[in-house]
Amino acid sequence: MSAAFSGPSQDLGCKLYGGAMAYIRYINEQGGVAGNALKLLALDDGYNPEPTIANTIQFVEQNNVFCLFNYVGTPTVTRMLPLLTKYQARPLFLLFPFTGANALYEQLYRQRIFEFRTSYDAEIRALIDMFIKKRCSRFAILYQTDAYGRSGWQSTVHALKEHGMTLVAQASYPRGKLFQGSFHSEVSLLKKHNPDVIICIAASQAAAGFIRDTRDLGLNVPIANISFVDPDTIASLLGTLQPKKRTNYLQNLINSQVVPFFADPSLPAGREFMELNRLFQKQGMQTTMFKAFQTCYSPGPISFEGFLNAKILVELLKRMGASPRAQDLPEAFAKLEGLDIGIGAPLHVDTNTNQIQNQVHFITFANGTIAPIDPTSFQGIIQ
Amino acid sequence: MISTIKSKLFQKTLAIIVIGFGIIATACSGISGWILYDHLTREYESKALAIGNSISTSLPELFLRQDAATDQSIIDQYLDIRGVAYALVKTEKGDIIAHTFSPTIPPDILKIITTNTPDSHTKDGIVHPTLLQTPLYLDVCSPILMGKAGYVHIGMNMGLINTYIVNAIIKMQVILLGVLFLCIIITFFLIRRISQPLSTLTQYANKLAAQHFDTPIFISTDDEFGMLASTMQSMALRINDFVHSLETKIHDATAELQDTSLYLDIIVDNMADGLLVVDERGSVLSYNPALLNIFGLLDADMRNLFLFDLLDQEAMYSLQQHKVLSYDNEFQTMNFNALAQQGHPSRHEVYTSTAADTNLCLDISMAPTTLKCGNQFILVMRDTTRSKEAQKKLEALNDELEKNILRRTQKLETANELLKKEILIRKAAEDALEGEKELFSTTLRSINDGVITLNNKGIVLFLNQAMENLGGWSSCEATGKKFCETFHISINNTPLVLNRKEQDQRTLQLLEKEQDALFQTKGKTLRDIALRVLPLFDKQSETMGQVLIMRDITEFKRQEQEQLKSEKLESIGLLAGGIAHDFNNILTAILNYIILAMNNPLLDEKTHTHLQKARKAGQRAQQLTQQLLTFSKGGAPIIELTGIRDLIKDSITFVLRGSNVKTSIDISRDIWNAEIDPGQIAQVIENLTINADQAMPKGGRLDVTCQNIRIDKTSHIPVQPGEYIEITIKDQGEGISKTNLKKIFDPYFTTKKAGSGLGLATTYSIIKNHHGHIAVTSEINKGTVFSIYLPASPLQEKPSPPVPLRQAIAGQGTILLMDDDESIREVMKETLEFLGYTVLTARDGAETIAKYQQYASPQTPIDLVIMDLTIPGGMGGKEAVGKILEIDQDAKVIVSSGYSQDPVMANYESYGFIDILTKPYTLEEISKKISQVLVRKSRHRPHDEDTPKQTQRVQPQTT
Repeated sequence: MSAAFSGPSQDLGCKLYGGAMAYIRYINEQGGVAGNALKLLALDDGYNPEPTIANTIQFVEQNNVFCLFNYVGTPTVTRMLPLLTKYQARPLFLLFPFTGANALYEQLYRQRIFEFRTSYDAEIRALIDMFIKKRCSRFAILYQTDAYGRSGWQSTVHALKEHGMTLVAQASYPRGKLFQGSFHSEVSLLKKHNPDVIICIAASQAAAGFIRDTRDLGLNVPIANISFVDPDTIASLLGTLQPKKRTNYLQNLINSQVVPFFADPSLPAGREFMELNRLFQKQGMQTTMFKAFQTCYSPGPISFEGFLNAKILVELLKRMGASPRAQDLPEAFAKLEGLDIGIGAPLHVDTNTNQIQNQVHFITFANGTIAPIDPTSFQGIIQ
Repeated sequence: MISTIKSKLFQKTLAIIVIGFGIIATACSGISGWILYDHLTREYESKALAIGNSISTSLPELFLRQDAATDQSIIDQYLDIRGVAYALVKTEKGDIIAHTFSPTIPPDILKIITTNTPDSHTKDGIVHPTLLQTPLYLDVCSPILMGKAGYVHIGMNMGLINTYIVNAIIKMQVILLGVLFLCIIITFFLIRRISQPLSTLTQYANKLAAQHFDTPIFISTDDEFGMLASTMQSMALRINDFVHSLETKIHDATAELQDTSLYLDIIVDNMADGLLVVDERGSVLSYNPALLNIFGLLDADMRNLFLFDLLDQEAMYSLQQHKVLSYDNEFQTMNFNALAQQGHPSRHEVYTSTAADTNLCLDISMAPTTLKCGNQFILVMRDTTRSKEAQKKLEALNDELEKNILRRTQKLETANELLKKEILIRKAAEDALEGEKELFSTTLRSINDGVITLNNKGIVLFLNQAMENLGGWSSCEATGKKFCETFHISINNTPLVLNRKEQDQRTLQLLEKEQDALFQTKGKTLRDIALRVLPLFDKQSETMGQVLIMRDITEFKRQEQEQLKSEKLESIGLLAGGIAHDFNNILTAILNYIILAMNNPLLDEKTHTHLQKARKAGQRAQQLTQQLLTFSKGGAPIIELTGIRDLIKDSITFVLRGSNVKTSIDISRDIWNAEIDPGQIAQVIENLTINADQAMPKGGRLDVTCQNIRIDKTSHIPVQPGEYIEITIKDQGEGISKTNLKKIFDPYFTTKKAGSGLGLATTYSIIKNHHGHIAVTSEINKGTVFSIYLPASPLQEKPSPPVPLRQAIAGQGTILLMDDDESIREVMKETLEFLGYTVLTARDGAETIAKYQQYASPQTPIDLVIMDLTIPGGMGGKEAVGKILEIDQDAKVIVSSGYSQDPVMANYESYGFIDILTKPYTLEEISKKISQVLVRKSRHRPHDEDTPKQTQRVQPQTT
């Protein structure tokens, strides 16, 4: 696993890792899979492509990993994809990267990548559909000036185009901007054109900062983020700010998710996740690997996604026998069809795209925490 | 260190360095900036093109997919390249699908993007990348797949270039600055080496300027600074000394000035007269207290005052009239006249009234002065008011007085007149008294006789001048004392005692008559006096004293004796003279007869010889008689130019015949002729020779010298300057004592037993008559030298060798001969007839005149008259000559006499004689004389040229 364990997206890396490790440790405590313990090797790439590549090479050539798992970030993943081709002889498979970039859908790599999460494109369409239903006509966008942001932007443009609309305003910010940074110029740009809603293709920190500045500058339209943004981060960052500024920053926000609400008690996976987390924390899970881990890890959608990723991986491994071989992964993947891992619906696998069909879920914030939104009603969101 | 920084030198150098560096920096900046800009621009261009190319040529199919994310990830990479400002992908249509801007594409760049699109329709169908350069960006648009797959824009940040340039320039500047700094530091240290000593020296100089000459200076480096320092120090010391001395002088001068100033101030302040100094316009500049006093003003009143404020209008006009100033009363201005300004101090009397209405009379002395600050006038005002008043009062008084005086004067005058008369009378009386007194004292003084006045007690009351001279006692010495104390008089060897009371009448009466007495002078010499003693009577005819009258008769007595002597002598002389005269005549006869006899041709040798000897003897007898005559008559010499040689020789040899005295005669070869009477001088020589001979009885040597001598005024020899011959006669005899030396020339003085005492006296008188001099030096037992000086003449004498007998000159003519002696007459007649003349004779002058009258006629002239000078008992030649000349003024008369010393003989011409003959005369002599005279022109006519000088010389002065 090469992910961002430091830098602006360190939440993602830590949470994904934490979620996955919670299940893996549980499994290992159960005796592993077919008597084999699972070991998740994790390296920090800081959300930068070069380290990602280096880590990947190290994983392959030195660690001889079974497969690549839980990678984070569009720019990072996009850049290491050629390595899949490079090591195709092995073969080298990338399982469940935390990215929704379209590049993944390039035929060249589709065979090597197994995806669980739906694409950002789908998320964006879902959001726009929702907002259009709610009579929003003026769409603005804030996007990160990189491939991730650009793909989100392109998805937005195409989605609007299908509805016969165009963006009324667009602004971008450079990758790496933190919560402390000022988003006034971006907000001003967007505010000028009086949007009804702002689609935000950003990283967690930047998103929080943007929300703050938008609200500070008096723009109270709904802001929609996609699943790359960690809602916990948003909640915590803006939550600390609220008492000082006497503004409810966590209102009128909606985030699209690729996993169901983790705290939903009706979800067996959710329950399992929460249970394991409790255990996890009681045992005082320590890892000296990453400094940020202690502070960053918390149960939430990201960690739930990591949990679910691990769960599916285990299921895959279960179907591969005692000595699994990487080349058998596609076959095992196909066998996942109809599996119910407790997320409310059985899994549907598309072997052409190596993708597990998934829905887009929405959450919002209430009382300083994450709260689910009914997908059909969107009540309480748009006034 | 600060001093170095402050040093102008450093600052200047610093400025130069900074400016230099500035120029360098600017140049470098400019050049490097330009170079950098150029290079970077080109670099960027190529970079942009390269990037564009690499993107567009490497993965065109990627762009075909038009997947924004992919495009974005591609272009994102290129953003890392230095200089890339932005990257952008746009579709074929121009829609931007990926860009790297946040928050959005700036409008200007958007413009660039839209502008900078290669034209897809080109000639050769190849679409090239295009460049668009704006100040901020260089945009390269690379077509992907000739634009079919879209375009990629790469924007290079030109601003970056500027940044680079600026950075480079800044770095360069920094380096240069660093170097500059280094240079400054080096310069600093270098200059400090210079400026420190310089500033030390400057400080030192400043200290010196501030007159701290004692400050030490610490530069002792062996360079120019050291030398300068030491020079300055020595200079400082010298200046110090100089300044000290100056200060002292100034101090002294100032003290003096202060004193003077103080002195002047005191004077001005204490002056009684008012002092006022005004300028040309009359503005008061300064004043003294006295002035305030005069005008009754205070200091406060004097502010801004003008002269016309002090003096009233009239006074000002008066001054104007005096041409001192011009005054305008209306405008209250005044101005001193140019004349007053340039002129000399002037004085004016001015009447004015003061502010307090007091009238003043002021005597103003005004002096112009020119100072630096302009022309000023110093006025000294004297308040003469009071004095004027006083003057007036005085005048009034004066007038009164005068009247009084006049009155009194008149009274006085009358009194005066009376007084005057009285005074005149008194004065007359006084004068008379005075006259009498004077007469009396003069008389007394004039009296050659000594007068002594005694009182009754015999005390001397008075001595007259003559008495003082006679006695030798002064009046003071003798008066007040007893007569007998001082004066010792003896009469007939009896001392004179004068005591009136005691002396008897007879003695006194005797004394009243003049008696001879002996008087002892103070010098203890005895004088013969004639003495009278007379009583003094007062008014009451009581005797109050005595008067002694004495006359020094010593000289008188002596003279009496002398007189007696000389009378004796004279009588002897007369007798002798008479005898001699007769004797002379007889001798003449004898001689002439001898001569006649000698002329006899029949004479034999023996007889001739005898006759010759007889002649010689006769001649000697003549000489003797001559001597006798000379002595007895003491006559004037008959001067003729005489050869002295023979005279001396003959005289000496004659005298010393038979003596044992050897003679040495040394006569100069070129000895002049003496202008002397040969007979007399021969007498002198003979006299002296005789004396010398007698002084050397045992024999000895007699040295006689004779030489020419010129005597001038400076000579001690008491004769007229001229030519003389000096004859010295020296013997080795017994000599003459000093006492006798004075007396030897005195007549009747002799040391010889049988001497007349006349020899040297005669000698003396002869020499004196010759206007010569005789002197004698002698020492006892050593000898005596007589020196005789006789008038001489370098002229040659007329040779007068004795005319041989046979050379007696014959002649023709008639001669009238006068002589009282018959024998002379006879012999002369014969002699002259022998010579060929016709002779007439006469006995005396009267007969001569008669005979002359009788005989003389034009047909038978009397050619010559020979007359005897004196005819006892008859008219002599002297008287007759005049008469004869009256008869015939051309008569030639010869005077003959035996008395050659007779003044007539000496001055024959003045008596009318034409020549002289001295008796006795020889035949030769007379014949010669006659022939001479006959040839001569008469007395009436001027002399012939034969004897001009001689005549002049030989005129002896009649004494």
